[in-house]
Amino acid sequence: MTLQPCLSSAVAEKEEDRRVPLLGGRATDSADYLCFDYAARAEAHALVARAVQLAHQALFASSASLRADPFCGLLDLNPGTTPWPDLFNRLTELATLRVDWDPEGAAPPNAEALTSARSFLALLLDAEFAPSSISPSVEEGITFNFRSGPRYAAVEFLNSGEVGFVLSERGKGPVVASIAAEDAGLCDAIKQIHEFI
Amino acid sequence: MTSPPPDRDPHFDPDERLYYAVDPADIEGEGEDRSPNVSSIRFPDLSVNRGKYSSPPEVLVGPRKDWESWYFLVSEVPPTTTFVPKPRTTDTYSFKVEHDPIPDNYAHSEVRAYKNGERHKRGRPVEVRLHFRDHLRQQLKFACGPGNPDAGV
Repeated sequence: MTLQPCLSSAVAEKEEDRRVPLLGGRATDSADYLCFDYAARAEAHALVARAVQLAHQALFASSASLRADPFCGLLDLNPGTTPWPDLFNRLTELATLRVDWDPEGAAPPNAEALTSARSFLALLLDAEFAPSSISPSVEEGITFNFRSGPRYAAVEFLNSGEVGFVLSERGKGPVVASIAAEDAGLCDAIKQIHEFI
Repeated sequence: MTSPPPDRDPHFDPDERLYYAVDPADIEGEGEDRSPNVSSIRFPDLSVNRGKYSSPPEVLVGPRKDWESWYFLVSEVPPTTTFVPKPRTTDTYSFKVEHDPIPDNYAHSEVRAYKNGERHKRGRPVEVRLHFRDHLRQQLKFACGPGNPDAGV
């Protein structure tokens, strides 16, 4: 992927550009051609990455000669080097979280939180900016965590539909804000977190 | 657990520890940067165990038996904070540690939020919740894990 719409001012954030990558002329790899829907396109990316991982594992087991560079450097096939399949799988896990996952009775993430979280993960994928983890929140929702040394940031999608983010560094007061669960607000949060982290 | 006096004990020393159980799946970072994520901190009522009446591993019971015990000091509870939410209202939030014994756990206490002096039960706006939760997240220090009850104490 070369597009970084959330992190590059040169990329116009037009709705039609994102939803119709073929017509917009911005498709950059096979996954882009699989699907017109933005969220589904992100999932397609994850599926392609997973397929590539499996293919690599098969090659790895059968032929040492192909181990070094089986696709002539066209693809990064090192298993584990791309976090995206695991991150998308994590959201799938959270969708099946048990009602009693929290000892104090917090509800698992609902459909609204999951939908917003998927869209956010898709934006992160396009920005090539992976969170360190995704966790269910005791406040009922989904939290994306970002870390770099003493710096910590989080974006939280609550079951209530609220979205908040925090930038935090030890010894300093946190910077907090509520944001709209829309692409513009989420992209702005990604920019701020990227600059902070 | 120490033998409890019969009633609530309203006096908290500023240096008293308040123990909180955290799921290790919600803890990240290395070395001194290792800390819980904000997703593990509740608002407005955060249940803790008073250090005056309990030891660090005593929060690791039941479904939390494999979790980690972390603590902050009474003096590290967030100070009174004034927020100016949209559009023009000004709300002042204050936080208090209150001893709230429950059956089988005399040490149980809660960090409670008050909005304009009145008990605040359900947290809004989201900024206030995140501010409070991250403030406490920053204060948390490791006390012990399930397999090493004395480590970090």
